[in-house]
Amino acid sequence: MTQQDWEAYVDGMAALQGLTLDPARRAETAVQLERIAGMAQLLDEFPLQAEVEVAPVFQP
Amino acid sequence: MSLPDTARECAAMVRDGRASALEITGAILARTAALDPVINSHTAVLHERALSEARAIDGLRARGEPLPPLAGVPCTVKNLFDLQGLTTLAGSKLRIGAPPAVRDATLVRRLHGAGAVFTGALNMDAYAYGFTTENTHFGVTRNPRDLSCVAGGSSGGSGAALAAGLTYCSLASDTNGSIRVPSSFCGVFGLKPTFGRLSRSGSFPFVPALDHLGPLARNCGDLALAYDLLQGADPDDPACANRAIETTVPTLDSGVQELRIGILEGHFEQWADADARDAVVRAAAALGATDHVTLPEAHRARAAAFIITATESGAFYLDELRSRPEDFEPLSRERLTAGALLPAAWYQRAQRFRSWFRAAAREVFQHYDLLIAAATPCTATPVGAETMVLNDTTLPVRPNIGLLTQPISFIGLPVAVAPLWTSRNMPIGVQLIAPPWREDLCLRAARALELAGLARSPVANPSV
Repeated sequence: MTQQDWEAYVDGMAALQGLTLDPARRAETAVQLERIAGMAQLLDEFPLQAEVEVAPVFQP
Repeated sequence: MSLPDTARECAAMVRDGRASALEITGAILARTAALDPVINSHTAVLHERALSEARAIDGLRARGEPLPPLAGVPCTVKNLFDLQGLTTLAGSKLRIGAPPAVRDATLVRRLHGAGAVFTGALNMDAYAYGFTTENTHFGVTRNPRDLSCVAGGSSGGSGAALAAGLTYCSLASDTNGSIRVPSSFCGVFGLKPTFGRLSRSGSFPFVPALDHLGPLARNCGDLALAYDLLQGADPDDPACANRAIETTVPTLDSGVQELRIGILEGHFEQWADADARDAVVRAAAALGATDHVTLPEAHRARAAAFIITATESGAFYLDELRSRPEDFEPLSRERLTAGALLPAAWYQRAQRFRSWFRAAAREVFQHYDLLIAAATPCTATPVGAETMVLNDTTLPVRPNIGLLTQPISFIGLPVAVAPLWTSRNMPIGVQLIAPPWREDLCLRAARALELAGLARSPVANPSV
């Protein structure tokens, strides 16, 4: 995804969520999204077996 | 009067009649008035409440009634804890003008019941979303160890008030490192208990899946005592475990001789600078630890914690992001905005990874009773710093100070932070990480470092 792709994603999702973003906020939100997407990639590439479930009330 | 070093000595002085609670409280309020204009650790000084609580303690003594363990000890809270009659700010301009709290938070009530006197509500990063307490609306909290540096965050007010001798115990929260980072930067002791150990009822939420509360203090004895008094189930917090109180004070001085202690490597070495690595080496030597241990996929754990944090906090603030974006903290507004726009699949994957990582940690704890890592990648960073260099990599400061704390709180492990000191006489904390529900081990290890003279938290006297 390019910076333009991220800004397009922000435009679509912000409209869906009812958020109005000025150009500076739009650009910075795209930067933040790109950073988080890098982290999501780390998780996406890590295989999890089907039996690994979330803990609805987390008890360590 | 000259203030005693510890909370326990404070209470003993009141009990023995060497000082009244009112005198001690007055001395703390005077010190706060003198130092806090520069440090900016407080957003509210609770003169009336503190004096009234102190008089009540002095009244108990005058009537010959037994005094509770923290009788007359001045304490403070991060301003996300409810204090009756005060608006709970959570560091946020958005909250100004919200109705005042109708009663104290559960943990405040517990310390109040133990005789504590509440003298202040303390500054924090807005929403608890930050590691530096550079709060644009309420001002930056400065580090009493070096006023040109940040106090760390998000509980920076708690770390700074303790380091400056403005309080004996401070209640704070830790979602990704917010107790441990200011403990490290300000050179104080902190405890982030097991997820679910302490009630969050009456505290303002940030990331409910990851929020923990806990105490900070200037020595292990005070920290363990406060923690023991804070424990107990609470049906008002559904995430609070229904566990009996497991006291830590009785075993605090037991040492670590029989404990199997591992030094975390990989991610935890990679993102630690020379000061941080040296602190770990010294702590490990003092605790007799020689094994190096990997907590597998810690970098992915950190990523998952980041995604859960962004998603939950972004969703929580979505209404106000729509209606009054101009009132948000500029340092975190777009992080929150991005969090409100993330695919749900990312969140769900992060939550599933949390279960995987918990299992991996359980496996490590089959072989070890305690793990050591630095609490922060480096010592306190300068106010206003945008980037830091860690082992030849330049990183943005604010999102990355929690690199070493996030993987641990992600799975709710209990951690004590003990402050060590560099050759430049700046503090840096080490994390002492135990299996779930073994806060006693964290505190014993911190106490062992304190007894060895390595970990200490003297009161700073910054010139103002």
